[in-house]
Amino acid sequence: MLIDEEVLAVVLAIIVVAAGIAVLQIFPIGRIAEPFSELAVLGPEMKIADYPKEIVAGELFKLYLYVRNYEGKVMYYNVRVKLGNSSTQINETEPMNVPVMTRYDVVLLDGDNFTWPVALSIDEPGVNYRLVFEMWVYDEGSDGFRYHGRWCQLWLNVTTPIVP
Amino acid sequence: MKLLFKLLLAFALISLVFFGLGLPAASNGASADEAEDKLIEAFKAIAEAERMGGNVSSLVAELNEAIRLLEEGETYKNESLIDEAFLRAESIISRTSEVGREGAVEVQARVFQGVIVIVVFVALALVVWRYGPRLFWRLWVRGNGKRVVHRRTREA
Repeated sequence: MLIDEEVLAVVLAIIVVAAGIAVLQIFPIGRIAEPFSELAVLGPEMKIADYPKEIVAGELFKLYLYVRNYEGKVMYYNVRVKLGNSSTQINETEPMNVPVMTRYDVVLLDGDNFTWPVALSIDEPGVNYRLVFEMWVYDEGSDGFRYHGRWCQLWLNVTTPIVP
Repeated sequence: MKLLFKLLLAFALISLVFFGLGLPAASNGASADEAEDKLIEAFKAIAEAERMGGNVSSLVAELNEAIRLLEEGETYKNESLIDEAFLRAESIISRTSEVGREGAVEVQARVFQGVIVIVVFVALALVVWRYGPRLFWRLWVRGNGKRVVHRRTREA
């Protein structure tokens, strides 16, 4: 009888595990352990390298902007490009308090990503410019875009164009 | 000469009516702000359809196309592109409820399927619990029944 119970226990365990797997296959939605979004700035070769450091005032420079959605639902992203300096404040809760240079919008399904080719220029020569990319998302609760706490930055020196 | 004048007048009137009525119908004159509001409305409708379980991937692709049109319209000050973005957003909104309904039906079907699977497994577990040992030993005897077991006495 002892063997009978052992066999029974094993068979029942197999049935329980199989039932669990089957139910998980039927209800695949809503299993997001930790929702998050990615924001990255890539260099002109679409790599995490070769970022511009010195640029000429008024000349276009190329970058790529990458966004990925792991929030478990469709998201409306709005990446805002701003220009500050070493004294301009930004952190995970407060966006940079300067005007927006330009913005990029995209709607992404969960798991999807998008890369924009970005061409920017800065007209005023100067040192230690801080080019900031802030991620904003549409928030249905407040019926508007809110800062999502993700941001990237590039430090730039802008030189005066050489006049021939 | 009089006839020619009348013909020209008639042509001018017809042209006026044609353009006067035709142009507003082709363009709804949406501003960039109105188009942006409409895109957000479309996004909210898509999010709702997704919550209901609908497959919104094609609607999202269309919304991104509308966003691109609006951006281009704003960059090049092209009103027809802004109008096109507005109209596409409206078209998306009109289709989201159908996608949401289809999703809700699909979710219901999945729940039903899940309940069926659970009931089948519980029934199977009960059958195994009740008849499993008997079946197991019957099969074992069928395979090993001809074996002769010798009793060994332990030597003291």
